[in-house]
Amino acid sequence: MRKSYVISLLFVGVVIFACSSSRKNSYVFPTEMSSSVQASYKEICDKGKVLYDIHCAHCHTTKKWGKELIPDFTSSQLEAYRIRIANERHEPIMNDEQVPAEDLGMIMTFLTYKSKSGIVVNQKNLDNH
Amino acid sequence: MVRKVVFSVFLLTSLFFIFSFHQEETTNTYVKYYLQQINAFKQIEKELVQTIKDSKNLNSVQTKMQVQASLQASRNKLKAIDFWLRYLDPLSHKKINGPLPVEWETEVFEKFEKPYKREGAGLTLAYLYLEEEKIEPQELVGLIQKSLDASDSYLNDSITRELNSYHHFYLCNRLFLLNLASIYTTGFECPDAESIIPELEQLLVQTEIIYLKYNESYPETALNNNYLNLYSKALQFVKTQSQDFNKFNHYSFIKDFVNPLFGLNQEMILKYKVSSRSLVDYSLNKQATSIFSKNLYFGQNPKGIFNRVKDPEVLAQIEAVGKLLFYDPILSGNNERSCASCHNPNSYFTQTELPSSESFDHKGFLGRNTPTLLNAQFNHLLMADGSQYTLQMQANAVITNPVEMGGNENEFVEKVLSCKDYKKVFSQLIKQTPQETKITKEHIVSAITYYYSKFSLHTSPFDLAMNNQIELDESVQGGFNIFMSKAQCATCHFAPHFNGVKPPYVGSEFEILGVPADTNYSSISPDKGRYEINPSDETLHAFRTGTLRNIAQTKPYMHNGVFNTLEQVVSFYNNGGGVGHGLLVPNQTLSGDSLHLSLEEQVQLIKFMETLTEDIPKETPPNQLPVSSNAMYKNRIVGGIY
Ligand code: HEC
Repeated sequence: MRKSYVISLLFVGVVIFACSSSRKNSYVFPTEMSSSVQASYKEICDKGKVLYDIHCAHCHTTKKWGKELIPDFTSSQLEAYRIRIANERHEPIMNDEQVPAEDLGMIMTFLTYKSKSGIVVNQKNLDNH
Repeated sequence: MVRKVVFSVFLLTSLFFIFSFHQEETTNTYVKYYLQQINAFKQIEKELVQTIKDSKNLNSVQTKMQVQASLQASRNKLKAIDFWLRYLDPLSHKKINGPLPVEWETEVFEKFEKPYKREGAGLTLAYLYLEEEKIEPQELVGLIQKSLDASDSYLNDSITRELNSYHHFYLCNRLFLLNLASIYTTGFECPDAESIIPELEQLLVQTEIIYLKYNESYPETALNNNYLNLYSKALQFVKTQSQDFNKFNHYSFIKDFVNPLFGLNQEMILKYKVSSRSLVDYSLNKQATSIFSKNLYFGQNPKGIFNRVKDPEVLAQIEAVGKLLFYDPILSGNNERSCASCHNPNSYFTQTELPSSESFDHKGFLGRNTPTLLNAQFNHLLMADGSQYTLQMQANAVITNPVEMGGNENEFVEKVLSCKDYKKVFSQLIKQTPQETKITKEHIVSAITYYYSKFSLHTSPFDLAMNNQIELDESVQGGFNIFMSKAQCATCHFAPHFNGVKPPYVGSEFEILGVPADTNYSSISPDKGRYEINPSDETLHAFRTGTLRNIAQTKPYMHNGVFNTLEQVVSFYNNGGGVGHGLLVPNQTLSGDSLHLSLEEQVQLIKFMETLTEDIPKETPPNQLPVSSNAMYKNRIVGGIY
């Protein structure tokens, strides 16, 4: 009894670990980028991820079975300053005081280099604003 | 195959149908009026180009006058659409009526990129070109053709689409009102002083028509009657004023009309939940109720890395540690110099005794005068040469500059954290910045910038008067009117910040004045200014226009502190800057002619500037500094020793 309890606890632990590690940020950098530049970009991406969670995730991220589905925005959607006014939901919450240029820059870097989620974003939704 | 053809025909007809239907549906009175006015402007410009091409001898007096009249007609028509042009596509607007032959763009969306050069064009330059001795028709046509080409962009879908909802209207109007307070009455884009007030009247009359067309098409979000009534009164006021901008009552115009109209427009922006689709808006605050309030323009971000902190208790904690750091020489390489050494909080955050402060090694003096930190946040670029983009970068640059504080980027964080008290506070504050895994220099400089940015409140006597809280002397009002007109100060020091940031506050301007090295005018100051950052003919000796707020308390003046009194500064300008004093400054942006200010006018001008002195709270230095665990940093003196 006790043994199976321990085993199931262990199992739960492994599942949680697997989920959290699958949630771990991973990025895809162009191969031409030197490894030292990659390292500094990774640092920015890590910060960008945290800032994304703070500023953007409550509207843009869905959680499914422990996995985060962050939309794969296209590069034309990722013009940092345009995002402030991309739609009426953004406009009142994304001025210079609320999301300063520095934060926005890091978020853009994160979104640009994060590995694709494999989820097809409904482009119609994105265009529809 | 046949099916394909049939299908395409079907597609085409339906497209055609949709298209024509679409056109009919979206064209309301207001949009119709817009299209009609833009096309009318283009037509007048086309005729102007034709007049020039047809004229046999442009250098004859008669033809010149004809072209001049035709140009003025284009400018007047421009006033009918200025309301839209400036907001809907600022870059095209500059091609239609830019004030300078060459501009170096430093706008916000390019802040982190290299500035780029843009050749000027448009009606103002064409007007000025007509005054040259020999006129090349090609050159003249070129200036106007560029303006004509730029007008086409206002017929693009991406712009006309905006007109189909009410949002853009209130934002166009906000920019319009801000410019009424900053540039429209100063001759900023008007080559001929005699046309300034007539053009202003034209602008106000034509904009009223836009208002009425708008109200017809958007009754649910209409401009209210309070606004319209006050606006007619403003127009009435202008009509009763002198046509000479030197005699125009700028003071009353802004205080009694423009600023209250701005307040009403802001109310409607909130009430109608106006939402912006333009990049030029995000630096402006929808909550501000007056042009003369500190929260009009966000400016720089004083909180830095702590930007999301709202909790007053945490903010107080950041402020307190910021104050300690401001007075703490631990940031400097020799532990003897603090921020307060040069930016004394009880001397308006500057030092007033010397043209420039002593250098770090005691062997000489810095190249530039110490600027006040008050209102530094209301700049787009920082430092006299615009070398820094953010307050935090600037603080870091000073700490690590070998001739200023001589600190070391890798060391100063460690040194600060060797003090138990600092370490404790920052270990708590790091919770506010979950993106950071450890305490960094960003945390330290952000606390400093937050501390000093709280002192200015924009409650100078002039602000209070503009907000109808006090009355100012008549001579002071007169001084402001001279500032806005004859003395030409306001064409570079834009109200309400009185620095080089003009509406919509997305760029910093630089000027070349020919400031001398000494008061004998033996030579121009050798400092190359902006050239050091962005070398080019136009940037040699160019300096960013500084604020006039608190100017009476922040002597000495100019980038090198060459003048010790405001009288000297006014006399410098009155006599045409460097060129006017016999220096060779081929790229001077200030006219080398005399302003012909009488002694009394100069006195009034200074009296006005004195009303820009803000009530800055007295600061008491900390009693002691946090104790370091490292013996080397133990005997620091509050505020440093030099
Ligand atoms: C209040 C909710 C909300 C927040 C917070 C929010 N967004 Fe959006 N965002 C939207 C909506 C709604 C759309 C429109 C697309 C749609 O319908 O899915 C959108 C669209 C976008 C687009 C596509 C824009 C385009 O040009 O098509 C990008 C990119 C984007 N958001 C990025 C961000 C980033 C980055 C953040 C955080 C800084 C953020 N969003 C925060 C609601 C939000």
